[in-house]
Amino acid sequence: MTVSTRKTKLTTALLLAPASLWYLLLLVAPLVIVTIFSFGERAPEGGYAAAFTFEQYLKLPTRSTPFINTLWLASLGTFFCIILAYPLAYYLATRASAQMKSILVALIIVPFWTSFLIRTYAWITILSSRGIPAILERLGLVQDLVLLNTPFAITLGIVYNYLPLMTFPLYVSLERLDKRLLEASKDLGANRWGTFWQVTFPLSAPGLITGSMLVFILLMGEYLIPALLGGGKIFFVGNALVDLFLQSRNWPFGSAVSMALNFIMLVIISLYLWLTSRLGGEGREEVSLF
Amino acid sequence: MTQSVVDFDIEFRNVVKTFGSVRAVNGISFQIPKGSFYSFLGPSGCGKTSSLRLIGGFEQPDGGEIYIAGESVAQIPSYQRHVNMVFQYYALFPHMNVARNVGYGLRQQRPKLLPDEIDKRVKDALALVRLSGYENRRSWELSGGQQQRVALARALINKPTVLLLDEPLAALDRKLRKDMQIELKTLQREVGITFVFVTHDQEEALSMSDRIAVMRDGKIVQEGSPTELYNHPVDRYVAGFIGQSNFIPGEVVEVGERVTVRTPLGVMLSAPGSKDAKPLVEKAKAVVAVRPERIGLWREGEAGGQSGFKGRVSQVTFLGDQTEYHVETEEVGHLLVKLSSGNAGFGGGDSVVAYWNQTAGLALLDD
Ligand SMILES: Nc1ncnc2c1ncn2[C@@H]1O[C@H](COP(=O)(O)OP(=O)(O)O)[C@@H](O)[C@H]1O
Ligand SMILES: [Mg+2]
Repeated sequence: MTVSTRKTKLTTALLLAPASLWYLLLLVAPLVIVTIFSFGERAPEGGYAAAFTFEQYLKLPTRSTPFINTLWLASLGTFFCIILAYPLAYYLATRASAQMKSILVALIIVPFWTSFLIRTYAWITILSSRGIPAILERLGLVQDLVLLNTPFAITLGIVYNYLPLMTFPLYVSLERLDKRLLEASKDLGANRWGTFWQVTFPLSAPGLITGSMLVFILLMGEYLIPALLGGGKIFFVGNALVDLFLQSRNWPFGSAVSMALNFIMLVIISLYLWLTSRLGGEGREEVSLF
Repeated sequence: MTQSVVDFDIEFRNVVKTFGSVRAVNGISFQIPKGSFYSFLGPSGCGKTSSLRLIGGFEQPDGGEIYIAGESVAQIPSYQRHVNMVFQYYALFPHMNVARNVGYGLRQQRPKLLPDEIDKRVKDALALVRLSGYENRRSWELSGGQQQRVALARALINKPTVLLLDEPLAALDRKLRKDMQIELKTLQREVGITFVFVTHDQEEALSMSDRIAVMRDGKIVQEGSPTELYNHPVDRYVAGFIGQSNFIPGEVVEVGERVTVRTPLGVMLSAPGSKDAKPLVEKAKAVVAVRPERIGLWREGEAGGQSGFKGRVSQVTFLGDQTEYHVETEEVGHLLVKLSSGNAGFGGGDSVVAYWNQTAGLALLDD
C-alpha cells in the first residue's frame, strides 16, 4: 500500500514537473526580479542600479493617467461587451435553431482566424478621416468628425476584439439554465420580464462575472489597441510600461508601475473569487475561471 | 353572494395537441369536479404530462377547448391562470433559499403585498407541509421528500383553484412514497383545492384518487372511481393496467345474461359482461378476465364434485400476507393465483385444480 502511494506520488511529481518548471522560470523568477528592481534606482546610463529605496513607489502618482485610462476604458469596454454579448448569448442559448446556432458561432469565431494586427489596421482605415467620417461628411451629417485616436476608437477596438470572450461564458450559463425554472416562474405568476430579472438573469450571473473578469483582466494588460487606435495619445498602463522600459530606460520605475498593476489585478481577482464563492452552490461553479 | 354555477374546475372538450407527427393528446374530453382528487393514469408517453401542461398553459391546444372554473382559457397566459403546478423533479429555484422559493408567487402579486404579510404566509405554508424552521436552507441541502414539500408549499401559497401534480412521487423511494401518498391526500382534504395528479403507478392512483382517467395513446380509455375501474374495466387494457388479471382469450358464442366464450381448445367459459363495457356480439374476439385473488386452488383428488382446471404449480412466490402461485393448466394455459398465506400450502410441482365462480370472471372485448 505504502509502495503504491509512494509510486503515485512520484508519478504525480513527474507529471507536474514541466508545468512547475515553466511557472518557476517564466512567472515566479521575473516577478522576483521585478520586485527587486522596483526598490532600486535608475542607473545614470539607464537600466537598474542596486539600491533599497521607496522612491519609485512615491513617484507613482505622476503616472496616474495611464492607470485611470486603463481602468476607465477597460470598464467601459467590459460594459459594452456585456450590453452586446448578453442578447447575443441569450438568443444563441434559448431561441436559435441548431443550424442558426452553428452559423452564428462561426460568424463570431471566423474573424479571429485573421491576425489581430491586420484586423486592427483595418479599423484604422475605417475610422480614419478617409473612412466613416468622410462618408458622413458626404452625406452632410457632420463636419470635422474625428474618430481615430479617441477613447471612442479604443472602446470600439476593445468591444470588437473581446466580444467572444464575453459571449461564450454567458452562452454556457444560459444554455445550461433549466427551462423548467422559467415555466415554474410563469406558473407562479411572473410575466416574461419578471421571470427574466428574477430567474434568468441571476442564474446567468456566474457566466456574466466570468466573462467580465476575462475581458477586464486581459484589458488591464492591453497594449496594442491603445497604441494603434489611440495613436499613442491615450496611454494604457501597458503603453506606459513600454515607454518606461524601452524609451526612458527607467527600469526601477517601470518595475514599480508593473507592481502597482499586479496589485490592482490581485484586488480584482480576490473580488471575483469572493463573488463566485458567495454565488456558489450546487452546480454553479462550472463556468468560473479559477 | 354569487353562487358559482359550475361544478367543474376543469373541463376539456375534444382537446387535441400534436407535436410534429405525434398526437400527444388525441381529442379528449373530461370534467373534473370541484374539490376532487383527480388522476391521469397511463404508461409513459400516453399524453399525461401534455394534458397537464395544457391546463397550466405551457402548451396551446391545436384543437378543442379548455375551461377552468367555467371560463375558456384560450387567451389566458400561464402566469394569469389560477392553477399552479408541482413539476416533475420539482424545479425549485437554485439561487433562492426555501423561504424565497415558497414566497415567489406572493412576490409576483400586484399590488405588492407587505413583506410582513409575505413572511407570515410563507411561515404558514411551510407549517402546512411540516417544514417549519427550514426557511434558510438551500434546495440542494434538502432530501427528495423535503424538496417535494417545498414545491408543494410554493405551489399552494397562491391559493390556486387547481393544483397540478406531475408524477410528484416518482423520484422518491418506496417507503417515502407511501407516506407522501397519505400526506398528499390529507393535504388535499385540508386545503379543499382540486388536485389533478399524473402518475403511471396504478397503486398510487387507486389509493389517492376520487376519480381516475385511464389514458392510452393520447386518449382517455375509461374514467371512473377506483372501485368502478377495478370492478368494471371496459376492456382488456384497463383490466390489465388496474390491478392484475388473468386473461383467457376466445370467441364469443353466446350473449345472454352471461357471456359464453369458447377458447381455441374448445373450453366453454361463462362470465358476466362488464356493465360499462363496450357491447359484445357473437363471434367477437374476447377475453375472460379473472383477478388472481378470485381463483381458488384444490389439491388434486380433493376437489370432490367441483369442476375446475387441472394443472401443476410451476412457481411459488411468498409475498408476506399473500402467496402467489403460477399454475400451468392444459385447458386455459397459465394462471396466476393469489391466496392468503394462512391457508396456502402448495409447493412447486404439486398437482392442483384451479376454479372460480362464474360471477368472478368478466368477459371483455379483446383488442
Ligand atoms: N415538446 C415535445 N416535443 C415533441 N414531442 C413531445 C413533446 N412533449 C411530448 N411529446 C410527445 O408526446 C407524447 C406524450 O408525451 P407526454 O405527454 O410527456 O407523456 P407522459 O407524460 O404520459 O409520459 C410522447 O410521444 C412524447 O414523445
Ligand atoms: Mg410525463
